[in-house]
Amino acid sequence: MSQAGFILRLGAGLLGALLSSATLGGSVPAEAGVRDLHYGEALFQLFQQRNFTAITHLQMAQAKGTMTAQGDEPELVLGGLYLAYGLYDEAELLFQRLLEKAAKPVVRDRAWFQLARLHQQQGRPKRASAAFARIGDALPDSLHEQQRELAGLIAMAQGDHPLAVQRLVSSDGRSAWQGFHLFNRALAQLGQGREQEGRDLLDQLAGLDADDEEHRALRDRANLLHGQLLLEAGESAAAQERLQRVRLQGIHSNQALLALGWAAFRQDQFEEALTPWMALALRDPDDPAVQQGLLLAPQALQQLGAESEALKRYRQALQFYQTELTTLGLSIQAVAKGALLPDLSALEGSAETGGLLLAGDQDQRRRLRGLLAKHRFRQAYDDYVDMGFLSANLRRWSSTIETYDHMLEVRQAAYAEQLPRVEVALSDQRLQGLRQRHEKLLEMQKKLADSSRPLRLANVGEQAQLVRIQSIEKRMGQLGDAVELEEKRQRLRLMKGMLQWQVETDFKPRLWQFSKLLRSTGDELEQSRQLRERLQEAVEQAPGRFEGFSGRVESLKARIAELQETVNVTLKAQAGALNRLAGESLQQRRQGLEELQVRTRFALAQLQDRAAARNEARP
Amino acid sequence: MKTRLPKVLALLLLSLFIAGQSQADEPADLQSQVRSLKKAVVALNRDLFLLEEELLFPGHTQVSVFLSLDLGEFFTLDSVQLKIDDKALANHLYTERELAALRRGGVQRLFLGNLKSGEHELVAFFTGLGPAGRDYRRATSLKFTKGVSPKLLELRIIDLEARQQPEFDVREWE
Repeated sequence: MSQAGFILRLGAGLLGALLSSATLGGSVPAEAGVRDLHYGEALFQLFQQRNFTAITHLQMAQAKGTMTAQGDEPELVLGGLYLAYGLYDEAELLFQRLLEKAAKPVVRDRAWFQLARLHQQQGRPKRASAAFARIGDALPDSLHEQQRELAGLIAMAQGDHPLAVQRLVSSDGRSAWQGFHLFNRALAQLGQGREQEGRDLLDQLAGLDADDEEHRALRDRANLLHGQLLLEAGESAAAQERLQRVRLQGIHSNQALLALGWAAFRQDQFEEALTPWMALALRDPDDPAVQQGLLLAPQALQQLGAESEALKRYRQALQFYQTELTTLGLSIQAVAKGALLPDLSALEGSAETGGLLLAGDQDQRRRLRGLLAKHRFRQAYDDYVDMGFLSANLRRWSSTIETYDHMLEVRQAAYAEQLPRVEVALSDQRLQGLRQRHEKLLEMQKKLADSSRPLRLANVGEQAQLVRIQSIEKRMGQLGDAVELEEKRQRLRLMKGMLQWQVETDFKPRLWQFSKLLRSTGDELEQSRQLRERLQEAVEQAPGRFEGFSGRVESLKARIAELQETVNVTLKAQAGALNRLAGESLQQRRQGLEELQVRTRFALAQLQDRAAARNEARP
Repeated sequence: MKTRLPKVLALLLLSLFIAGQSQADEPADLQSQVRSLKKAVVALNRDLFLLEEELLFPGHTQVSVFLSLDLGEFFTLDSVQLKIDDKALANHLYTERELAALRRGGVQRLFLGNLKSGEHELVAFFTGLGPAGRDYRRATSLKFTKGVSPKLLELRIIDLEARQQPEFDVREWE
């Protein structure tokens, strides 16, 4: 492979490494706000890295058409989720569909950005570059630094290192992406042979403040790389200075300690070399740097003249390599039997794992951890765990769908049992009669309001009084115009007048009260009508609904069964591929250990020969 | 002139090259099978959830209660208890991860169930740490009418800057 091609590949590799550090949630602009509960619910899952569940929520809300207040935002988020979940084709189709809809500039820019990212991740730099060129100036501020990073990496992937260097210059010195830009720019400079410029950038990165573990690890990585470069160039003192900046507890510390020992050793500072190498001996024995340290520490001791201590250390190293080779052999056997990978049958299908799953045996867990540090193994392993989750998910549904099937049967039986009663209730004409009476009363109310006949609204007592007055009037009329009755007639007129006055002055409130009563009765009658209508509708639709549900349950059952079979086959195949990868990797580890064992034996033999020669030379 | 690549850089580039090769050692047909299965199970999962919702929580009786959180500056939520018509329907203890998701704008569905049409009363009790890190317990309530369409209610915990206090309320969504 040409150097240009090699560096081009570097760009692709680095992109993957860096974009994975920016969580998907980070690409959801904060200013978008949540105006839709279902969208918010999907974000709740997404922000907890439950991508599968978040996808399900968004797809459900889309299918129900309940997510209307958020514009194109849910689709953009869904596309990002597809990308994170490895559904690249779906992501591409979705972004293209969004672009075809001629959406707002900000949506278009984000869709082009995601497409560029997708093509770059998939190793298609030309298409990535074409998509990137379509991004306008409407991309949200929160994505500007990611846009810069992507621009640089696309240029690197296309072999245009000067352009990558130019693009990776951040205008915002306080940005969280500043460190990543500097690291990538350093690699671009180093890749095109501009070593000093590359080193200066690594120094610049080493001087940045790091507020979180990710940035502290990046700073360590820069110092380690710088130290190793200087060591290789023969500048051991300068290398020492950079390597000493690497934290003792970080993920790069073992390699830094190993290199630090070498930097001192090459300057004949054997005591200084001994310190980091002895420190390495106390660390994780599975780390190749630690294993090398076990051989190097006695070499430094030998240089210091502590030959008996060196002899002891060489023997300890040999014993360690032997033990490690034995356990490695057992691990290789375990891999061959498929015992390295965790049993995923206990996974629950209702919740994503969200974390690392390891095998039960302590030795296998240690071995698996070591393998997972390798990117290629980790990706295949993640797919294996995803398949395990899908299998558990299908298992759960397979049992639940049976319950739904049973539930439908029970409901159908209950429906058949209740139907005669419901039909009787529906055939009852009383509601119709009540409605007719209500209509008559409404007509009466209208007439009363128009005709102003207040006595029609007299209450029962008043009506009885009026009847009595009329009866007395009638009887008095039969008695003629007797003068002695005049006083009684006047009293009767007064009483009648008072009664009429009372009813007339009370007419409007009474009419209002009557109307109010009619209205509330009308409302209740309307509610009863609607209820009856819904009942009628339910009765008519029930057989079709039962049939529809049964059909869906049957079809879903078949899909579950079919997918369960395929998922389980794929899970086995994935386990096989992982075991092959693990086997190859452990074999390489064994070769490395055997090599160290040979070198240690040789060093030990030399030391013993020298001691024997000295003894022989003595008089 | 051809530039010589330092060995250590070459090794680093090699490791990055390997990292960039998407599952270089995993057979391509297996990768494609995994992707196709993920797609199929996602679609099946969606259809199953839709069926479940229609079957167990039909629209005319369906009630969902969600919970959202402002920045959470004046209140750190520990737990919430939800009662409707004096019946405890949900209790939830929050993890750091959930709280972080809520603070970033996520909305949690606290309850999904059925209620008959008519008047109901929701009461929610919140416990946690209030201003100055003191234990804090508050409640909020809402009387609402359940009609024929699904009812969506949102419990909101809002930071009141002016009073330097949290506020709790319930919002009815149309």
